[in-house]
Amino acid sequence: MDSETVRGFIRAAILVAVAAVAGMIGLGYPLPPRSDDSALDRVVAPFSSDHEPAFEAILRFGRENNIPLGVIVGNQFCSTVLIDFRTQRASVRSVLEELAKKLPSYHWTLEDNVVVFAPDHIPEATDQFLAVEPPTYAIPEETLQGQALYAWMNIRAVLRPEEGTAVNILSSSKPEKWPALTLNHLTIRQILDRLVARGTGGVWILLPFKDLAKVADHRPFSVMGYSDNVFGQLSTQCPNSEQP
Amino acid sequence: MWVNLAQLIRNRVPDRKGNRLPVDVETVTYDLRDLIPGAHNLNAGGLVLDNTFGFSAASPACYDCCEGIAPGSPIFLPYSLVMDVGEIEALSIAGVDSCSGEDEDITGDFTSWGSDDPSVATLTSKKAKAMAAGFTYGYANGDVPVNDGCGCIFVQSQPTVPITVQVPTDSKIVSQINSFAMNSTSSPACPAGQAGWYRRVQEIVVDQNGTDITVDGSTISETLGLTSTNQLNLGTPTPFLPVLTSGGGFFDDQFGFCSPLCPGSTGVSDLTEVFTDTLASGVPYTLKAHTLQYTCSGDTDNGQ
Repeated sequence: MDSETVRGFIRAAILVAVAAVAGMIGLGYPLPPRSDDSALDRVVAPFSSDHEPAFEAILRFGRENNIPLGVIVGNQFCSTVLIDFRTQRASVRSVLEELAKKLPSYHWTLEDNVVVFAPDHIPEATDQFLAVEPPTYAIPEETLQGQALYAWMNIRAVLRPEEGTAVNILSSSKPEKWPALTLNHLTIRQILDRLVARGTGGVWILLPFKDLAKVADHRPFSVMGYSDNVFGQLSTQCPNSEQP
Repeated sequence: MWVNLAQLIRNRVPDRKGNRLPVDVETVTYDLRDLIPGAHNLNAGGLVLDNTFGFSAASPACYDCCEGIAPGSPIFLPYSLVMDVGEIEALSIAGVDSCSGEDEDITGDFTSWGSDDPSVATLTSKKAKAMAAGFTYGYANGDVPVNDGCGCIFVQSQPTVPITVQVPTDSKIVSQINSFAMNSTSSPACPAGQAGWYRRVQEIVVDQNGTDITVDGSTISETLGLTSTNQLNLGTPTPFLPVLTSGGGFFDDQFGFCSPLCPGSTGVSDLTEVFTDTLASGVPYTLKAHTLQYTCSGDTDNGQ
């Protein structure tokens, strides 16, 4: 093992340790919804869902109302089906509260203008991952999925500094490009929020995992813009939450 | 069917009750009743009475067969078909009106439809259905009225239509948009301490004959895998989300890498990229695998 690799391991270990401390002070625990954010007071059109998986319904609600979302997927999120769920014209906050009631082991928070649904109990490794702060990195103008992939390359350089990363991005000939952005002193959780809380909004989806050492093998998150032409197709597939 | 009143009078032809038309008839009224469905069976213009020479009736004069079709003109519309497996395409047959010169829909004159190779495509009335990759001719048979210079005659006609059934088989690079070395200051950039190569190309799916498939709206998805040749120590690649073909069947593919071993290494890493093309009909086709070869000084796709 050469000295560069050793330095990389030490760097990653320090970052993980910092992340672990951040997790212990409560970043991963339920926070009460912030009541001072006026975006949640916006009144939205009546929303209904019948015989629809909660996963699909929440993503649809976000898309129909341009509410940036983050979802940490758990079993309940994929298995719960909404039956005759209806809200009248109401604030975003009250619709979210009603949706959360259907997912008893879930809670939602507002962080950096993103509504995040998360299980009450997240594996510690997942919490540590979200608290990692990669070095500053400039992401070019690109499709949202492409930008997420560049962000992942920079994250992998922290998690597995001795390894390189292959990047492959498919797009239509004239894709909708999202503006360039610089990630400066942001945790992974903040990076995900920053990615989707722009333009017409979007959603990040994270699959929880229990082994931080293995997460570099498979990107645990994906992002979708509400204006993406594959959104409808992908948002109907609740991802498999079984991760290492 | 032709009814020549002049002959009936001249030849003293009785009807089924034995009555004959009088030879001194100057004017008559008549009814025409067409007992056979379809056009062109009985032509009012063919009933001619000529009393120039006393009371004798003359043979009908020649007339223009304005319901006739110019000989050889029946053609399929569209002229040819390029179809995906499972696709159904509507067909019609047109002929050139011998009087007006305009196209006329004569599909109804064709009563039997088929193809030379039904395993490739089948034809039924006004429809073609693609069955499997290949090429065949479709045809239809019918009797069409043709102007023979002195009225209409019916001739048998069999127009044909070439049918190619495409199957997505491979992809190819149409053009290169970018190709450059990546480092921590390029755009896109590598993470600090890494370098690599970036390439963006425009691609199109081709069929079993190497012909471009210019259909928009097909979904291209991919799988990526590392091979045993991985001297640049790349991690497991993540396949990208599916994309729809657009602008005439095109899609863009950006492929590259960053490695802590670049720019100094002379090593090579090979990846296998396999596209799946799912047609609008929902039928998926796995395309031929490509090898993406990465070095610190360039990327290639199947050597290109």
